[in-house]
Amino acid sequence: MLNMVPKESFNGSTSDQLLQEASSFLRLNIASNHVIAKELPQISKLVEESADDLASRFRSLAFAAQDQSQIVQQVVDMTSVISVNGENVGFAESLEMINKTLQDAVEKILYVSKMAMTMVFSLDEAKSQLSDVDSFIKMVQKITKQTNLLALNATIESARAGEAGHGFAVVANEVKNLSKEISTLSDEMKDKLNSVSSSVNVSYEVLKDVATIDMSDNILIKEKIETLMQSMMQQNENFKQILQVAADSSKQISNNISSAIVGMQFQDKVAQHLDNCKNVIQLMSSQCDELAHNTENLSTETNIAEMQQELIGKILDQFKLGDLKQKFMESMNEHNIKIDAEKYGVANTKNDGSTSNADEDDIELF
Amino acid sequence: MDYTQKSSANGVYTVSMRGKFTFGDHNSFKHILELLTDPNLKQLELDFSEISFVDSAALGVILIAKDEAEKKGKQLVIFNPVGQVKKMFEISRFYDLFEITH
Repeated sequence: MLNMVPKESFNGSTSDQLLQEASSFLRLNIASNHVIAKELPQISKLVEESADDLASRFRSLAFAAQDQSQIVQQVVDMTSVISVNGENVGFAESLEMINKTLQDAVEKILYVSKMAMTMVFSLDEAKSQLSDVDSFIKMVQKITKQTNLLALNATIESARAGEAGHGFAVVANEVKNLSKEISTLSDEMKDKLNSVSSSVNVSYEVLKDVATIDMSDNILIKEKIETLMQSMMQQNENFKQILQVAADSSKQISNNISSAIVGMQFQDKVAQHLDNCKNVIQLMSSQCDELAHNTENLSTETNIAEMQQELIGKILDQFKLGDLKQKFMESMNEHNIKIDAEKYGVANTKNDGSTSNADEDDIELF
Repeated sequence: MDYTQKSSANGVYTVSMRGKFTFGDHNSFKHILELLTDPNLKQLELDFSEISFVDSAALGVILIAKDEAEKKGKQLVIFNPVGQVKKMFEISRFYDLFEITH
């Protein structure tokens, strides 16, 4: 800052020097305040634009979250309902239906089995009866054979008896004929019986084929399917629960976003604060300006002291951003403060705004 | 399958069966059913403890046994089905149709 001049060497030229220093410091002050005052509204604008941008992104996010919520809800709904041929059927209802159908199938299998076995018993009985009848016919045939022999014997005896045995011969003949008729009849009966036996045997074989089909695996399958269905129901339940959590999550996201958007209103406050700062700085600046003019009128020299150069260097160091450095340089130029541009590695600007190289003639070097 | 039978004083006849009970055993089972005609029999107990397997034909004849017993006014009890047999009886709802003890 301002060098502290010892009181002993205080004379006209020293106070001049002091004025000079004060004046140039004030001008530097004004120059930098100028830059700051310009920067503050820029910052305000930057904050406002960024906040707006964020707010609009948040709104997009909110819409996306809402969409997601709706989709999740749709999926939750889908877990309870299956569409079958255009009709909506409840999941649990469907499984119940399968259960009933299986039970019905099992009952039918059992019924068919019972009926088939009843027929098997019945045919067993029939075969047994047929066998008996066959024996009877055999017996009849045996009897007719013997009857035939008897008739034959009677014919022979009657021939021996001569004329007296004539009547007897006739009877014997009739017996022979009768016995022949019976024999023919029993042959026919035997044929018919064989036919029936054949049919019964065929039926029996067919029935045996049917009755021996073991449906026990089919019956056991029902248990497997029931277990599978239980698992499906359980999984469906689990699925529903997880989806519910997802749905709740989505809702929470929506709520958080709404809060965030509200929280974005800070840019108003920031703008106000910055505006206040700017006004104060500008006020201070105009005061400095007035003071600077007054001190300039009193001073006779126009050189900038060494320590101002040092100060300028320090200020330039504070400006990390290249474009702020540039704006400061422009501001100093506007306020007629000349600096060693080459020393500070910046392009010096002329009043018309164009930049020039550090080693051009119109730069005042120290 | 083969079987043994014993009767007790109070008219309970127990038939203990062994092996697999399938279609081929229907004749044997028929003989067992003939016991129902015995006037001294009040209850026929079929012991399934040592039956390892029943097929659907076997289930059919057991259902026929139920009808026969009812017709003749006798009690029919199934005793101790195990393993595959127990499963088959469960799925076929035999526990509702028959008196089954273990």
